[in-house]
Amino acid sequence: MTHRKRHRRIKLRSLYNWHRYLGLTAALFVLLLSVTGIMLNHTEELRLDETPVRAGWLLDWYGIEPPRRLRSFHAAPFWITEADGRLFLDGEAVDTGTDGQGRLVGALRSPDLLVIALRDAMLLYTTDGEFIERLDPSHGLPAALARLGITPDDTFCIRTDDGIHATDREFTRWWRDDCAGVRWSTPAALPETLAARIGDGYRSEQVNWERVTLDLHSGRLFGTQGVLVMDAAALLFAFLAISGILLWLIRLYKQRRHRRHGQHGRRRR
Amino acid sequence: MRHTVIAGILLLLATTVALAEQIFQTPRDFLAEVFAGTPPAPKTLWLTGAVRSRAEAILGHRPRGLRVRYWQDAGAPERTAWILEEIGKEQPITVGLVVRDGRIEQVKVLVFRESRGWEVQRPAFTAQFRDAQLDDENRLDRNIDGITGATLSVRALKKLARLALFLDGQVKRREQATP
Repeated sequence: MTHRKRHRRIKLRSLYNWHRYLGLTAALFVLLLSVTGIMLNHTEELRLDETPVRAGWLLDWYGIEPPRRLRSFHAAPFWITEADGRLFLDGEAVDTGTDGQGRLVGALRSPDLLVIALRDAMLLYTTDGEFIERLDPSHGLPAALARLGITPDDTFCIRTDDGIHATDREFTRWWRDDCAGVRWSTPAALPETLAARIGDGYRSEQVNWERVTLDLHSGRLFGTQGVLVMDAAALLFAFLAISGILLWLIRLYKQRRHRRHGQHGRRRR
Repeated sequence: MRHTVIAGILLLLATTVALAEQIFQTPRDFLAEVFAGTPPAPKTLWLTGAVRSRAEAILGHRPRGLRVRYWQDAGAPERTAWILEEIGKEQPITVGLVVRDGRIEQVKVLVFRESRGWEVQRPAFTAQFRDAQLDDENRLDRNIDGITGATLSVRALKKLARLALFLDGQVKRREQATP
């Protein structure tokens, strides 16, 4: 074997080794990207976008802080709480509608209804906690609610910048009224166990599993370094693709040459 | 540093969502337009029992609340107006609908919050619903041409048109039962 041939063989073996070892390294990233990629392609079916992250360590990793300010009203047996702009009915987050969260103004219960008043909207629930409807100024609700009250005959009243208004049983009309004997809803101290539950709920509302999967896929979950590692993995894949094609072509060339030499040999004989 | 990056991403996402909201007309202005400046007091319709089941079948999911509001002028009881919401892909689309004699008189997209599919607010699209009514299976009696790239928003509007017609039918049935 000539010195040139030996040198070429060593180079080829070296390419083989690089391809093999880098391939093993890449396997981990391929698996990670494949699994997270499939998950992201089926995010709706898997409900990743609707599933909040509840793992405390992961929320800590994202730096999600507990709410700074809790404001609660007790409409027995319900506790209604605003946690940094998010509304909670007992320990469960409440979707307050489409036009912003609104500041919690009060909550009261009559024999038939649970009423939650926000600055610019009102949420009605059955006494079982089932959502009935959301009212806003387009339904005739006076703007800029400041307080929610109830009279001894179970008429709901509100105080706005414009004065006191009473409503009918179905909340279809509002009129100015002095609401004699009204009892206004006032904030109350939330039990500690519920406060802790709401704190956890508030944190988990901030991040869902689609976000985590996406961050894992891009490497962003581990900050800038994670993104750089994923960039390196992408370069690794490119190298493997090129080296794989190269090795395949070399082998193909060798096989053909070997076959051609064999035919020459037979013809000579 | 990591927290700053993540907070930045969340803020960017929140801004994108906020920017995506397009108010074409407020519900209050829509009602004022429909009722010549003086909308009547709203009336209520409970979605319970069979009404709820059929509404659920039309929407493909449970209606969000137990009660919906509608507006009906005492001088023209054959005409009802509805402000309904349905999610296109991720965000609710607020739509104003007017039904007269069991046929759609007007469909108008009031607030659009999705990042894509806003083309459904074009009058050329919403005009297709005019005079549509429900068949025996609570489907629209005509084909509504879709819009490329706005499939989910188109689907949401079709559902709302069917729901408004169905609810209008329930109102009329209730009125006939209690003259």
